[in-house]
Amino acid sequence: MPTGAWIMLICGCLFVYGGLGFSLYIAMKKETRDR
Amino acid sequence: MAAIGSAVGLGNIWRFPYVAYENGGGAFLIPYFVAMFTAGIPLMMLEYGLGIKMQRSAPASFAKVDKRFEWVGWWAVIVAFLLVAYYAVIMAWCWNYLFYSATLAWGSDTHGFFHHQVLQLNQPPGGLGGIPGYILLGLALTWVCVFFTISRGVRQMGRVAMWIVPLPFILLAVLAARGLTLPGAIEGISYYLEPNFSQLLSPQVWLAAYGQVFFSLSLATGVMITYASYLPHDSEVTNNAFITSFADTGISFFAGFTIFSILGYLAQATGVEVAEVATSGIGLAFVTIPAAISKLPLAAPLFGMLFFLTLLMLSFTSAFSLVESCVSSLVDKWQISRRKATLVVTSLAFLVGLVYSSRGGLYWLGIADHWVSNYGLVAVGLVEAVVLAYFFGASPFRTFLNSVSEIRVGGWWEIMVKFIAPSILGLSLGLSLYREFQQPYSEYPIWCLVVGGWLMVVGAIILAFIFQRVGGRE
Repeated sequence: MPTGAWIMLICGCLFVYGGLGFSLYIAMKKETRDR
Repeated sequence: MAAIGSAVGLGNIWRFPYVAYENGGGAFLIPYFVAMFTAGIPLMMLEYGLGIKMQRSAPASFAKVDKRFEWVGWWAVIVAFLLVAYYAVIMAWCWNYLFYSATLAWGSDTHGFFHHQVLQLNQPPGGLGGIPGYILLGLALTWVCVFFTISRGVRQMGRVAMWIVPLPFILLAVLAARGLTLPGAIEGISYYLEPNFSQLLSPQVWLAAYGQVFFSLSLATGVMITYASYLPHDSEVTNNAFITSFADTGISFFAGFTIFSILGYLAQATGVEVAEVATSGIGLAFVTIPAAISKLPLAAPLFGMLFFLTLLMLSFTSAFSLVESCVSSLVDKWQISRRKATLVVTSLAFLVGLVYSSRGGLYWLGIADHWVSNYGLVAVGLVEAVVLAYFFGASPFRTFLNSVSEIRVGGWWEIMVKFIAPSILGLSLGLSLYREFQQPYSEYPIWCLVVGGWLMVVGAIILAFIFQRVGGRE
């Protein structure tokens, strides 16, 4: 696979799943605090 | 969970990978994320926020903003109805293909099989010519499932969503694992991800990104307003919008690996370039993918069934949300029982769907999809944003969002909903109209485009005003 495709793969995964993970983390933190 | 299920639909599987590939490959992620942060997430916050604040379905929520704007909510709901009427027909095809997969009934000519044996397309554009029995059966099955889920209330829908929302993700992962281990898969993925940064200078690519984000997030159908209305009055808004948007993008991005690895395999097996087999929409799901499945070395029927089961599950969650938006609006306005409202909506949608199921239905479906996506949804989104940002006021809305949410939004949000999102939606609408008159949708008879397209979207606005005028029960 070309280097450009690898870079986009890594950046895409970091951004998309990192973003999802972070927002889920905030939601869980809030839930724990509320409880 | 249900909101994620609603946002994730067929578009994630059959639209995103191809749009990304066509518009700069991996580089498309840049305009996509810009579009997500400048229009998708701000508009989703607007819809979530409205639902949570007003605790009502779309029309009643808009009526609470200003009695004169109830029609905006009805317009969104009617567009949702039109959308689900043909969406259900695609689901009927999926049911059929689920069974055809067991024996790989499509043989080697998947195009001929789909058009002549499944759809029995033998009418010119504008014709109807009866309905093939199995399609009718699939359509009836779809609506029966929707009826029994929605009529039993939100709790039942939540229970069903808990099961059928995660399932397609697991199935998609299984399909990706199969796809990625096939020869030629890496070439396919390279086509999907290899960035072409020069395309980022093209305005078309940016419009495609905004269009994809907007359609993908189920905005402008009243769905997010309705779902949010079932949450408590002080529920989190901004982070939920982030979670839904990121989960939706995550599925789209992931689906690209599944689809392009399979396309890479098909290209290698048939000795052509990936570009020649890359396609989107109905052609991808019912022609190209079955051709690739036939060529799988092991357990082809099983993977065929898994693929169509995934499509069915994804479309069910979206269909539930669209029907729920219509049902709750009727219940809110006329205080009729939920069961009765569901019966009215599902029966009417079934009847409208008969046109799309007919032997000339594919043409009608194409026209409906073109007009609903390009004009219906975009116009509703534009009016919704303008009404909420200017008549309710972006500033009080932001104060409300920040009072209930964990992630606080700054002044940027107001700029997005007041200027950026309406400008982009307006531009997109203007460009679509310009193109429509420059080069009509197809060479179908003009009356077909007027009846199946223009009349439908204009009729939706008129009907929305009528619904506003007809008195409801307080």
